[in-house]
Formats: sequence, structure tokens, C-alpha cells
Amino acid sequence: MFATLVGAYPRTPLPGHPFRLRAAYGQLERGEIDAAGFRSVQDDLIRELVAEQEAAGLEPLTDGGIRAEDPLTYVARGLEGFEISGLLRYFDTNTYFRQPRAIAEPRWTRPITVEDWRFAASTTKKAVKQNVIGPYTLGRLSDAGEIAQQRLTLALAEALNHELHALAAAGCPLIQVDEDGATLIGEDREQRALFREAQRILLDGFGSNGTHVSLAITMGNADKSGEDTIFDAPYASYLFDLIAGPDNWRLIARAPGERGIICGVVDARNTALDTKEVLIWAAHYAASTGGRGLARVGLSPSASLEYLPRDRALAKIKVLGEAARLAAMAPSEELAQALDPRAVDIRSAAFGRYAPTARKAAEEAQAAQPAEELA
Amino acid sequence: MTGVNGLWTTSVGSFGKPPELLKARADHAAGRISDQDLDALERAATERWIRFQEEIGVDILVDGEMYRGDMATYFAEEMAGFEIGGLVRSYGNRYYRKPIAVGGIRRTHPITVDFDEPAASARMEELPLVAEAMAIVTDGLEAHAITHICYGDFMRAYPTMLDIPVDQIDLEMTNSNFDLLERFRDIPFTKAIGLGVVDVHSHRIESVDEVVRGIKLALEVLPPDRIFVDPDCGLKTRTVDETEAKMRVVVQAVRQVRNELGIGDELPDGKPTEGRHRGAPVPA
Repeated sequence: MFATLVGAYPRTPLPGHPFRLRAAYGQLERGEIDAAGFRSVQDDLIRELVAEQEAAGLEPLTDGGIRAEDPLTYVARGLEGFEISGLLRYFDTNTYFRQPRAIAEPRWTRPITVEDWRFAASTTKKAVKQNVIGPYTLGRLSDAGEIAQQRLTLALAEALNHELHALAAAGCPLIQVDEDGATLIGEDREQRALFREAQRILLDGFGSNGTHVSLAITMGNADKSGEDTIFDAPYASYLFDLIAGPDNWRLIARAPGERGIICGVVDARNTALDTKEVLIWAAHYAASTGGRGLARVGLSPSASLEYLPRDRALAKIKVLGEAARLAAMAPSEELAQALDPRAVDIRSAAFGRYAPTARKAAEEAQAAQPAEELA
Repeated sequence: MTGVNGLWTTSVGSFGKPPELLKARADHAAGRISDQDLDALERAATERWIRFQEEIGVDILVDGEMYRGDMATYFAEEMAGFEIGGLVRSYGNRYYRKPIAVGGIRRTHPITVDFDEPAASARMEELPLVAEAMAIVTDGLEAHAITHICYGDFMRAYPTMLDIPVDQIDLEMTNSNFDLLERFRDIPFTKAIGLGVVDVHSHRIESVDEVVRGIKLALEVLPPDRIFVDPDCGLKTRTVDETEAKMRVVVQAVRQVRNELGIGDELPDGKPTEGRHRGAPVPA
């Protein structure tokens, strides 16, 4: 049982603290600092964010995605064959990415994320994972230009397979492949086949080399893409957004029992604080499916926490870490005292917080009134 | 085209803030200067932008939104029921303060007229909801109503976006390489268009020729009296110098095309048009 981020974390400061990274961007643009000076500001922030996750009880940790301007562009810039084009909204969020445009079949020529992972890993004794955008999502959200989407996606799968091997060779114990594009597949047979083929190419050489490779799908439901599509490649674990995509529970129920499940149940796009009881319920439900057991289950936010102000994100990862700690406990007096049993009903689980029906709320209010008032 | 008026120049809304105002906003947030001090600087900056637009010959002026930190947060600040949260990144090194709903949302006093729906093309299944909400907003409104939509999947949102009951839809076109115009050949655009002709996220100043090319592409599929020429989006992301340079290019390009094609600059009456309720064409 563990808790981890999906990947990104706010790069904004906590209230009352200076926003050094934003200032550094300006200084870099004006030529007041060089690339090394800018990187050292990023390094400081990564140390801070790694420590913040560690203190909240998370593991594996991430570098918060601080070095990437967006999930797609950072990898596209590192490959040969792309130019970077105009801004596009990322799914239905208020964040944007610059759309990569393929001008040739993409090629991997050098490691893109390895040094980033090495640095983050050097700041802690805990395990650090590295995110890599998946070939299907990068191919689908890019402008394929003259190279059709299928050719682009499969070439990306091959290119990113080199990146995964470079990370594994560097000692990265856990790689997370982000494939939000899986929510766009639906019942389209050609797209399903393309997704499967891309994942097989991407994972070529993995499965028995000791590196844990996880597939993360956020931003919506992927259940309509079919479990044959999602579970075809030999990923060791799967992270599903269960807030924007509650139907992903269907996939969890059908996931092979030997594969891990990370429940994305902390609402990454709502500032309201989540209820730990619901998170624990989610972890135990996922553990009960397919005879999986708690050892193969983790908890996470439903998506990148960059959609929230830093103080709200911090409050959420504290709940996340605490929920994972409690979920791992055997039934005990301490566990009983830490939980509010009223919070775990179907209605509250759907809302992600204790949400009694109007009738139940009225009954509880009445029960809470002093006896003399009721008389 | 002699006798035809059109290709009116305008802006989406915001302009770059002068350095002294940026500093004053930071000072105000830290409690170092008063509301009145900030207000005076905002008014001075607003007047400066009005004079600038008059001087270069913009047809329909905007106030430049010197008093707004952000397009959404400003409205949340002025309404009851919101608390203003911390910074959230929108892209690159750009951030906004996240409004957090903490109670019933109420309008307590007049704010301004602004129907921006930048995210309208984000959830296709919710476009009918956007149209329904806009119908409530524009009900009985005796003015030319515009909505601005940007940085979404226009190809998928078109032509359903035409069902939004406004007289004009303002679209970023430079960012998407004017691709959507091609679709207008098959499915005609039924309203007036705000034609974005300069990129607001680039330091580079477009040439007049580039902007002329964009306007002429639009004229292949729309008459000049249904085209309003403007930047892709608010120019607040640019410096004052960049904002001025981009606006000058827009005005010069329009002047060149008007002269070349004999298009006049007499302004429309600002009344609601037939286009407001002219939705997506029914397929033959």
C-alpha cells in the first residue's frame, strides 16, 4: 500500500513565499542569468517538492514535472522530427500545451528525461519515479502533418522505447507512461489496434528486466476502449483517474489480479479537501478485485496537481499519505478511531466526501440537538 | 467592392500593462499602496491605451482591462460567493489566481459586459449547454453580442458552435494557421467573425504582408461586412511595446486591403443582427 503523485505538482510557492521560479524565467529571458543559473533555481524547487512529498508519506516520489513546460512539448523537443506549433487546451482543463507538429518520422537520438530523474533521485533515499508521455497520446495530440497518425504513433513508440531503456539502464526503478489519449479511443477498432500495437512496441524488452513500468490514464473514462485494449501490454500496474472517469472502476474490476492498481481518487481539479475514509474504501475495494491484495494497490490524485494552488495541493497530499498509512493497517482500535464510519456509503463515495441524503442529514441534526430542545 | 463597408479593426480585450502599473499592482497586493493610488494608475493607463487606439485609427476601441489581473478571476472578485485562491499555472510561465466557490454565487453590483467563453470548445458534449447559457445571458440584449473562443479543438466544435446565440464569434486564427476557414467553404459561417490575425503568445511582430494574407483568406469565405479584424486573444501577455507594434500591424494591414479592394470603414449600427439566431446550417 502506497501513495504517489500522478506526476506534476504546483511549481507555485506556498502563501507568503517568494516565487523564485517565475522570476528566474524572466531573468533568463532578459539574459540576466544563463541556462545553468536557471537550472539551479529549478533544482532548489525540486529539492523542496521532493521533501514535501516525503514528509506527507508519499513514495514513490516525483520531481513534480518542474522541468517540463507541458507534458508533450518537453519530450517532443527532445526527439528529432518535431517542430513546436501553437497553443492548444489540454483536454477540458484551463492549461495549455504547444502542439508538436511532425515534420519527419520522429527519432530518438539522446536521453531526454534521464538526467532529470538522476537529479531528483539524488535528493532523497526514497524511490523516485519518472513520467514519460506515451506514444499514443503524443501521436494523437500532435499535428501529424504529412505523416499519418498511425505511422507517427508507431515511430514514437519505437523512439520512446529507447527512452524507457535509457531510464532503466540509469537505474530508474519505476517508469510511468502517461496515456491520457486512451480516453479518446472509445469503440474505434483502428484506434484500439493502434493503441495496443504502440504499447507492445513501447514495452519491448520490459517485463522481466526489473524495472516496474506503469500505465497512467487520467482526464476521463477509458472503459469504453475495452479491457482488451488497456490490459493487452504487460504493464506491471495501472493508474486510473476515478474522478473525471468514474467508469474506470469497471476496468479495475476486470484488471488481472497480478497487476497493480493505483486509484486516482484525490480530486486533483477541485480545491475541496478529500475525505480519507473514501480513499481507504477505494484502496480496499481495488485490493478485493481479482484477488489483488493491498500490496498491489496504491492511492494517488486523479490527475496532475498543477490544477490547484500549492497550499491546496499540499493539504491534499497530506490526506493522501495519511489515507495510505491507515489503509495499510490491520483492523485495530487506532484505525477505528481514525475513521468516521458514516463517510463510507455509496453516495459519499461518489461525491468523494461525506454527503448524507437530506433526510439523513436532518435526522443527524435532530439527534445532535440537546434533549431539552427536543422536549 | 465599392460601397461595401467592413474589416473593422478592434481587439479582444486586454492590452499589456505598463511597468509602473505592474509594480503598483504588486505593491497594492502587499498593502503598500491604497485602492485610490492603484485606481489612479489604472485610469491613467486606460486613458493612454484609448489615446493610442484613436491615434493609430482602430475602429472599435477597448479599454485594455488595466484593472483586471485575469479574465476569470476579476469577475469572481466582483461577485459574492467566491474566495480567491492561490496561483495556478495556465501555460509556460503564465499563472492566474484560482477562484474557489465557497457559497451561492450572486451578482451584487454591475461589473461590465463580457461574454468570453474561451473553454467553449473544450467539452464538445457541453456545447449545447454553452448555447443555452448564452441564450439566457443575451436574452433581450439590444446590442451586438460577441463571444470569444480560443485554443480549443475548433474543427470538432464547428459547426455546432454556430448555435451559440451571439451576433459574432471571435476566434484565434493565427495560432491555428487559419485552418478553420477551409471548413467554411463546405459549411458556411453564419455570423460575423472576429478574425484573429496576430499571435498573442509570440514576441515576434508579424509583417503587414502576413496579416494581409490572413485577411484575404477570410475574404474568400466571408463578406467584409461580417469580418472584424483583431489579435488572436487578449494582448496582456505582451509588453506595451509589443502590444503597440502588433496593433499597428493589424491597422496597417486592414488599411492596405481596404484601399486595394475599395472597402469603406463606416461602422455598423451595433444592433443585434440576424446572425444571432442563425445556427449551424442544416445539411442538405
